[in-house]
Amino acid sequence: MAHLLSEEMIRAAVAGLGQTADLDSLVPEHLAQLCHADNFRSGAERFLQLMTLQQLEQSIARLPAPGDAPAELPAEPEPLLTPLDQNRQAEFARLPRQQIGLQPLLACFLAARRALPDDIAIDMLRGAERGSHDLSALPGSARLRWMLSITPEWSKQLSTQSDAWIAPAQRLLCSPNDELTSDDEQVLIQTLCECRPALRAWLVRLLGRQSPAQISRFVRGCWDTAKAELRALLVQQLIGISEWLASPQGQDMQQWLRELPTERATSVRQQLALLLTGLDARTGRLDEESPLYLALSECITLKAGKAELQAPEQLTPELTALGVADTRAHANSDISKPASRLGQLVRLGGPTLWSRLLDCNADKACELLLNSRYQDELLPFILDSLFLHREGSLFKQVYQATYESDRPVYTGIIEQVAVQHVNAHSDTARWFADIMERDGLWQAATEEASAGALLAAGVRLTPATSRAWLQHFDSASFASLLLLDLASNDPAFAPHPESDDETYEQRSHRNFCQRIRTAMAFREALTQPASTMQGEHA
Amino acid sequence: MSKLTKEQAESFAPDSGTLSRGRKIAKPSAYRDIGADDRAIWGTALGSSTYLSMVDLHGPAFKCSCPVKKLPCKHIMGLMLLVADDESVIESEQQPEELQQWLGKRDTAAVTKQNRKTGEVKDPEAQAKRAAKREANIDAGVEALSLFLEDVLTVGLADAGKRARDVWDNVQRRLVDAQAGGLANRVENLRELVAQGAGKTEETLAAMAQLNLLCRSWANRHTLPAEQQAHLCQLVGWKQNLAPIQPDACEEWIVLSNGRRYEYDLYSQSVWMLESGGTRFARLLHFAKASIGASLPGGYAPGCCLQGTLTFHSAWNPIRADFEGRNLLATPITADPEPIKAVANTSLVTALTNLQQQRAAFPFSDAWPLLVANLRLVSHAGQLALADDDNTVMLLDEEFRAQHKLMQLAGPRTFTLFMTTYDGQRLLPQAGLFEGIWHNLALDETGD
Repeated sequence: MAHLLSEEMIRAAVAGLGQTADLDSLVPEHLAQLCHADNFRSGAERFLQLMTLQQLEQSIARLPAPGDAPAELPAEPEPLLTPLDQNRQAEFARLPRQQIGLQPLLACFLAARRALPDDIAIDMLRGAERGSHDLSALPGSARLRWMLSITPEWSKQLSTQSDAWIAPAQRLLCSPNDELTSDDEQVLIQTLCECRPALRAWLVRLLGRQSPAQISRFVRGCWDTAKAELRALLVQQLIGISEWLASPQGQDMQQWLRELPTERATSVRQQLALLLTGLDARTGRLDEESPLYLALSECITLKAGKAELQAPEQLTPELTALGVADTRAHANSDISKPASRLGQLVRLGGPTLWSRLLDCNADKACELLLNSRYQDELLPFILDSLFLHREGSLFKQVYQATYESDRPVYTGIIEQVAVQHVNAHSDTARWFADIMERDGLWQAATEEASAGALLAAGVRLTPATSRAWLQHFDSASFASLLLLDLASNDPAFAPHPESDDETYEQRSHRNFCQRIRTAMAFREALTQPASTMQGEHA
Repeated sequence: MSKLTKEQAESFAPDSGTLSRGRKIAKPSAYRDIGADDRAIWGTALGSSTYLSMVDLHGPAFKCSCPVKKLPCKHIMGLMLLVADDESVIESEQQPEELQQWLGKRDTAAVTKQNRKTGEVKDPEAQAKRAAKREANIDAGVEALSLFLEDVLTVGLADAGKRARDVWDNVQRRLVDAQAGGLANRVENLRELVAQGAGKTEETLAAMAQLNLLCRSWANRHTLPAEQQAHLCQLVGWKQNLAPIQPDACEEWIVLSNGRRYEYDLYSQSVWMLESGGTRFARLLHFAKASIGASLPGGYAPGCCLQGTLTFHSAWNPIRADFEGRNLLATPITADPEPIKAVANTSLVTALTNLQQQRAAFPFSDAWPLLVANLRLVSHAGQLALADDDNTVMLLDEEFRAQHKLMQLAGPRTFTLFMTTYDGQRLLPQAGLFEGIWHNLALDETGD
């Protein structure tokens, strides 16, 4: 922008008039003549007058000049997720967002394949919630993606410092059955390798919704470039498609897995061992000659109708080859190294091997293990094993044992294990939800974390289960309320009329009903069809 | 009976926190003795203690016996929301004594204010004496200010910026003593610009030129027409009881934008309005001192049509105005956006040419309005800018805080924008028409 005053005049004003010899040389002649020096008491007064006139003259005369074609902004990208219509967006703006929490909010929008309202996403990108940049961009509307493309400071806040992954991730979400293009695949592989854990977990979750063949292809594509943390997540995905891997279609992939060079990372080695052992169990390869059977038989024997357990004192090469490691398996549990080794073997073996070693059915074998001298140490591993081997019939038994255990460290262990497995694969989430529904294990889904994981996996309880669920609770996290499938005007949670003499319980119940109504209205708003598919700002 | 709507009640909330707390208690069990008539709404809030909450709908004005000074408090918000939502909660139309007293006081104050407005003078001789004394005071203040400005230029801005604060304070004190508060405020703004150093040199010199022009105009005021003299007095800080200006003929105005801010215990509201079916703009400025519980008037929702009497402060520069709405408390009428678009300029150059002519005639305003259609967002030297169909590009004002909102609403499409400018160089968007809906873009900093 050109200056309104001449350079010399500005310089004189900044440096001081004492250093300026000739004022007339600073201004156009017509102004100098207009303000003759004789009419002023001092040079400063004259300078002030000249400056005022020139400033006004220039300021009023200055108009923007039509220039060359300006740098146009890019076109808006194609919308991928369906936006909410204007009315719904206004409703969402009123929701108690902090109360709902970011993860459940995101889970609901992604499950419904809806774009997050721009107001919410922009708030998050501007730092309203710490560390939420990636997650607010993931379900971003076409407008938000456009804004990201022209706002470099926002893109820099994303963990990969680029927004290139958003469109491929959204395409993956919208069309899980379509083959990924090689470009999208490359972008996603690179993003998975570079991004923060929260986004990585979501991307892996989206990948897990693809067909087993596509998942396998993707894993093979990025195996060599992936870091250990990502490889462990990818193997967890493969555990989720064990059934397919064990089928004739999965033989090629299974062969590839078995031929992988020895893995250096313990976490990946453990996951691979769990995957391959599971596959062996499915294909009947766990015979009495198998290394796992031999290792377990040294630790578990039946004596006088009781399980006699002997924990391995040393971590032998045979055990290491089976994926056993001296790492802390369950964060809050204080388990000795031998007990942990035993636990890992028990987890690998699963109910099939336990029953063979203890010469009884799976129910009885589980009961014997839970009554053994290592009962408390083995509990989390047995739980793990049930998830890995999909032994839902034993779940209630283990669940009760957990709640009856007097070890405080087991408070919430079911939720912890469930979150771990539910996050790993959406099929596991559905399996776990079925067990909860069948056995009435409602408590397991009332915690924020486990309910959030189920929500993220796209689980929703049936209307009948939702009603039964309501009978058991008078408070729960917002995430668990979002799992329910009820109508917001359902009389089951119609609040009692307010009165002056209501008790504390009555008031709590009314608040709870209100929370359910809010949660259900939120779900309904997401699932109702939008009035406009494209051009969300129409 | 009250015709207050929920949206109107919400528009009076001083901040989102109070609104949220008000919503929580907007239920019949939280109040007793709820009453309302055409003039007021009242009720006793049942909190940790009982509080009488009152709303005077002529104003509106609020009073509550709770200790909160920021009005309307949550008790009043809850009461208004409750009554707006369900009129059946109203138990009586008989005003309590306390309310009657309060309304009586307000009516008396309104009559006094009206008398002052109509220029009724009790003792003309004494007033003329006082005016002469004040004029002499201001003369002395203006002379001191001129000398100070010359002094700043003699030593140079670089050195002036390093001067002790006392030097600037002394000038300001002198101007306050000389009863020229308007000039004192401008000196404070100048001090802030000088303190910012080299980056603001041109703005500093522009501010000095403005001050000098004001001083010169004051010195030559007797050569100006009466209306310009009157306006000059206002700029200097002398509010005179002038002969009343006739209300404007237009009685329907569209609210274009509403910017609110909270600064130094003072709420302020800047409302820009457009003559319905015309091209004239009007700016309303409202102030409310937080510590005494005053609140800003509500009902000025952008995009709505208001009916009432508008009076410009000056015939010389008809922009600043007062407005007495007739439908501020009725259901808001959404203005048809097409006529707004129709009166908008189609190019930035045309809009600015008109505006520069107005600036030449009246160089003292700090905000000039302009309405331009078919604008689009472009990038200019790495910054977001506005371009029209002729590819004329103008930068956004550094003060503009709603860039993300503008990007979100506009996208890559064209839009109609209502903006203001201080110097004709940088544009400060205030509101705009995006996809057929009018959106406010003005600053909203009410201390939430």
